[in-house]
Amino acid sequence: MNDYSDVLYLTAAMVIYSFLTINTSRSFLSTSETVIRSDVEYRTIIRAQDVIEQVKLVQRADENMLNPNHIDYMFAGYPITDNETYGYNDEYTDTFIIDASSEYIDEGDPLVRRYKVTVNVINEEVDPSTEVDLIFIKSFER
Amino acid sequence: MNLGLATTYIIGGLMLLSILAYNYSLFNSTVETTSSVITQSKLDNIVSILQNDLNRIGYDRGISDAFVMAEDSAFIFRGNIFDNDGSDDFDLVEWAITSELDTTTTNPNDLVLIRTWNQTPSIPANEIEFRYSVRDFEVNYYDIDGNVPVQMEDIVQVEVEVLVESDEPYLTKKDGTQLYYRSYWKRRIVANNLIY
Repeated sequence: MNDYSDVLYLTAAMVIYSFLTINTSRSFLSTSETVIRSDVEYRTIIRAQDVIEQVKLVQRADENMLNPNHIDYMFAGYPITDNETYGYNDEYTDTFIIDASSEYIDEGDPLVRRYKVTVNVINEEVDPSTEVDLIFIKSFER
Repeated sequence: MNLGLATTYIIGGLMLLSILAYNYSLFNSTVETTSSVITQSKLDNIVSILQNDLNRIGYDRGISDAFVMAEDSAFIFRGNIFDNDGSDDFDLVEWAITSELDTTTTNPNDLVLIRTWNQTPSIPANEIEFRYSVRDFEVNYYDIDGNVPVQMEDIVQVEVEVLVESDEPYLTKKDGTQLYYRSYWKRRIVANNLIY
């Protein structure tokens, strides 16, 4: 080293280089997290869709299953925690917190009764957790 | 040796090592991200077709004979898959996972999933075959109460599980273990045409 100015130049160059590498790494980490979160959100949406599918099955004779004040109310025990295992050897597990409710929509129509079903699913496998809300309108012809 | 020159070599060497390690890390990260996006897209393609098919089981055909075969690795059903496709007849569709390894990818775990579609089932030669590479494909069936159906006519809900892996490994470890990105889809679908 001829003088201390070389040391200062080198130090400055290393600091700048460190900042660049740290920022690029952060960017890549963020991309990876986004990809993983999108996969988790995908599965969370599917769980909410599964609940809606069960509502689709409710027949006209079983309309009380959507009445929150009736003993047959299908969402009486909600929210529930559901563990789902998957993979070739069931090596993975997802934990979902599923909440759902239904609400009668009073339209004053004597021929049709409609219920608004709201499904909320939270997957806490990632931090912050992913949350999905789906709304489904179920109609019964009288 | 000149002390200044030696110091320069040491610092330069450390910088070079640091750049090489950084470059290696960036390369791996890029490969992983690209693999994951391609794998998700691959799964999305299969799922789009599968959902369309499942929602049309029994469409224009009726409840009683919608399924021809229903097993955990394959199913065949009748239904009108596409409206206005120029065919008055129902379609016959089969989804089946084979034990055949997919040689079109370098992933040794990939199996061949076959979708066979025939718009005019009375003419078997009109069958069109689509092949997909998947890691796993499983099907479960349920009746209207969510129980295992006694007979095929009782099937109302179909649960399908698809697991796909990337075609290429995103990382090869020192011991030779290759890691593949995985994407997964599992859904229980109530076929509208089987409810009533």
